[in-house]
Amino acid sequence: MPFTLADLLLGFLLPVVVSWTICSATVFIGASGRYVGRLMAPIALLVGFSAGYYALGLGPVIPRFDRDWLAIAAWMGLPASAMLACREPMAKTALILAIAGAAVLAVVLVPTWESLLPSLTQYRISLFVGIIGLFAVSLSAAIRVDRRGLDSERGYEAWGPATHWLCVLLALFFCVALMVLSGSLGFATVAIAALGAGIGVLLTCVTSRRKFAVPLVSLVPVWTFLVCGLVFTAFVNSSATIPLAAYVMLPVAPALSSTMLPRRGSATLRRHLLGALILCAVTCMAALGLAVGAQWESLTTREQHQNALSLGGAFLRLFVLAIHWV
Amino acid sequence: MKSNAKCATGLFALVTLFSSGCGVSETSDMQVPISNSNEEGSTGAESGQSAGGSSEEAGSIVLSPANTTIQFVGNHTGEDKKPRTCTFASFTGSLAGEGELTGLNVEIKTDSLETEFADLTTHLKNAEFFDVKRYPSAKFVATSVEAGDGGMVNVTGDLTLLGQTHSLAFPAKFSPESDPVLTASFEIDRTKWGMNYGPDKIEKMVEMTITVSK
Repeated sequence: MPFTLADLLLGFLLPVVVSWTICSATVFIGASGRYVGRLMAPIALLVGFSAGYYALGLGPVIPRFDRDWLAIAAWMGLPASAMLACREPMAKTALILAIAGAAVLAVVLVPTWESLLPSLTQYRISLFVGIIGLFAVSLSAAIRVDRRGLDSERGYEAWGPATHWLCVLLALFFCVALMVLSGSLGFATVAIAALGAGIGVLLTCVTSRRKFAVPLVSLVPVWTFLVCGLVFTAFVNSSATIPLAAYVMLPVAPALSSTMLPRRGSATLRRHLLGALILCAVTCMAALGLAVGAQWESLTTREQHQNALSLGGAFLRLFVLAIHWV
Repeated sequence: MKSNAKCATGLFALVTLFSSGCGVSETSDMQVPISNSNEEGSTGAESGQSAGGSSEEAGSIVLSPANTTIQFVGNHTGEDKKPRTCTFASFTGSLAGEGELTGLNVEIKTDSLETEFADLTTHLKNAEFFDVKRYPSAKFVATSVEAGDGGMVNVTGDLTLLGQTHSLAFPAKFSPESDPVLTASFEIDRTKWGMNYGPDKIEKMVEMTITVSK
């Protein structure tokens, strides 16, 4: 078991409770559809994530190394979130703020090891382009989910964005799995804290009976900075042979799933939501498949046999359980 | 549908762009140059070593994976300790002493760490433990050697690990006439060097064993 009870309580449950409490408070004061409500969701995500991160002592409060900036990375998206939380989102200002934040992250998050290959500059440019690219793609997807499609159908206003957010959480869940595979259990715990905080936001949507719609647009900058920082740090610090494509596919998967959104009224709500989730899950599984394939090759024959046996055993147990249940 | 297709194409272009930006295999393969144990052995032989890969010029022995084993065992917390043995495949150093031990130093390539489990090896190389990309080497330099009882010696020196240097003292059995020449078995507190990962999962005391043959 790679995670202890403390990891799960402080690293997962605490972020869930913290972010759920903050989001529920905005519903309670009747601000969920207003500017404050749209801004409080990213703040809830950040506070919940930070609560888990610092409660578990996953890094120092004052960063010592590049990877320690991970906890602060997500906060750099907050100014852009504040711009996008407006009734008429100030996309240009948000983009400028995102560019500034990405530039800072590209400097502080990239390690300055002498042996870093390719060069430091290449890494910095790649990270900068990656953050801005994901920001643009995710924002475009969030706007599409918010504005286009099935708004005439009952329940879409709450469940459409919630489903897209579920895709984001699915991607984060696979990030945890990827980091476990890459041997970065510390970064996996960080990803669990982010996942917990994200679940808290989604939980508000479930518990508030449609009074809270996940403000996807204002969440985009914070999510982008958080996930980019996370996958980049995990990638650059890992000694595993997992291909870069696996790390890139996961953050992109939720945005990709938004392409399942049909034209207005052209499909049922259920079909749209299911299609988006399936596409996201398939993309995430493909990313994980790449990672598993790469890791499988590095195992000894004995380990391959052991893993195959335990996987076979797990399937057998599931099969027996299923028969028993039927 | 057209816009959906455009969006999907854009996303895949993004994936391709990042994938070509930096290559993982290139990074992980080339960040820490590893020389394998055979190369170490042949280098030693070329510099006048004996068949065993060691050299006894002026009473000193060149340490290499051919004649030396540096191993540590980490235990899990709880009742089932599940001890995991790890060794290093690449290091250089020397043991000085004719009759009595006068010096010991070794520099280890941390990326050469090996265990019997591939996933454990990867985990130990990562930032939580040896952080091999940031700290490609660990070093021990003996500062004093005192004679003990029954052929034992007390070695004191500086161990540099994860960029931190702290004093380390351990007992060793030194017998220049027999084989192995030196054996030492002791425990070190990994957290002293900042290796703080999972104190509730893995015990902080690590059993070290060093064996030097002729």
